[in-house]
Amino acid sequence: MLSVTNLTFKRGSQTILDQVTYTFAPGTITCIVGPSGSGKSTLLACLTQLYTAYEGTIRSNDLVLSSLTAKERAQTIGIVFQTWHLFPLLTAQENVTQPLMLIGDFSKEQAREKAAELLRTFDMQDYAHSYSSQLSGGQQQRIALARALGLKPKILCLDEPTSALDAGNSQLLIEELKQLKQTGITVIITSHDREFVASVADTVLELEEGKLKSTSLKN
Amino acid sequence: MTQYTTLFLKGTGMTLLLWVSCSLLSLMLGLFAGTLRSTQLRIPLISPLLDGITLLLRGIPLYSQLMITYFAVPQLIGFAPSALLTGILTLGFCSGAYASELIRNGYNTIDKGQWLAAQALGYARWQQVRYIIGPQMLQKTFPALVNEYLMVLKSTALLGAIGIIEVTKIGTNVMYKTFQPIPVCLAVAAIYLILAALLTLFANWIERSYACSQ
Repeated sequence: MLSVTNLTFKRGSQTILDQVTYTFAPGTITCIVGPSGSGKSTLLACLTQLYTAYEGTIRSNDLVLSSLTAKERAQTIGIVFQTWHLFPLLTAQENVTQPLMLIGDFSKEQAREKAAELLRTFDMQDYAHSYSSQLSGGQQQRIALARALGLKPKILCLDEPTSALDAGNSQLLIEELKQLKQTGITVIITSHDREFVASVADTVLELEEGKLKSTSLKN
Repeated sequence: MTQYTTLFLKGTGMTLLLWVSCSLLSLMLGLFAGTLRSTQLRIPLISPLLDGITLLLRGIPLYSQLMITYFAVPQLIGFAPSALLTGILTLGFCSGAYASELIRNGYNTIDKGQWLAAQALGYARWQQVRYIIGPQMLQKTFPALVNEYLMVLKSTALLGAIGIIEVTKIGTNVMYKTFQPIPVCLAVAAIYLILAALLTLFANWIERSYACSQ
């Protein structure tokens, strides 16, 4: 369970997030919607501790995220960015194995086995030795998902996951997210894509000018 | 002219020694200073100090720096290091300032998302630099660094001014002795050209080896 209490984030004199309070139920998919500049991506950055200069508290099962080490935090909450940010000098497989070895304390052999398993899960085993520049948007996203899930986070955030995907890949992503939900992971997604949100969300949060405007339960 | 072959070979050896040692020193200093001067990795007090040193070394001509380190500094410190050591340190530090600027710019051109992705995966700052950002920075700055070390090769000719017997100094001495400037100048130019071609070939080979990853 991820709970956010009175989360406020300011950039200069501008308030980006204003007293956001919400509890994300475990094993659900929550979509955060709202117009551009409403603070959706900033909220994800605060949840994942990429931005730490916020006021308020973010807890995962009573653990305050800001008090965790980088390694503990990465094993608690992961993120797939809007443009994925795969490491361009590493192959798809190395993108998955490297965090496993450096952060997950896997041996080289264990990391390779785990990466192969994750790539198979996302049907990317044939692209294991491809570099990000040789992959399509949908393929890069699946590698980014595999990379984020390798560390077994309890919570996974996705920032605008369909913004660079065609309809086919969006549908594939919906299926993958539903399967992820079955494993008990809490998924938090920001999106502008109403159709995608309607297909995948259990709960929809609406942000407007940094404030949580409404909450609606879908399923 | 053939009786001077041994002299030219010795001069070439000295030029090679100066080139390699100054380039290695420059690369080490450049990596250190360039990393700490990049936007993401600045350290209070140390980074501004490195900015100042870089400005100084890039703002004073190398020849003037040699005059300062060879003639003025020994008076200040009370002893005179050898010309070879003075020359290597002066050219190495001067080139290191230029290399640090290239490396700093290299770091600053890396997509901020790469830092964020590594941070989100729990990489410590040193791991982000060692495994993710550093290799990308080196790939981006590699052609400019090769250019810098070609400049270092040519700048070794200036070290003759403080009495180091490198290939240009040998050429000048032979020219004064034989009054045959054309063959001597051609020989000296050919030696530099061969050394520069070797570095270019080596750099091209390295670039080709890593080309598949981008």
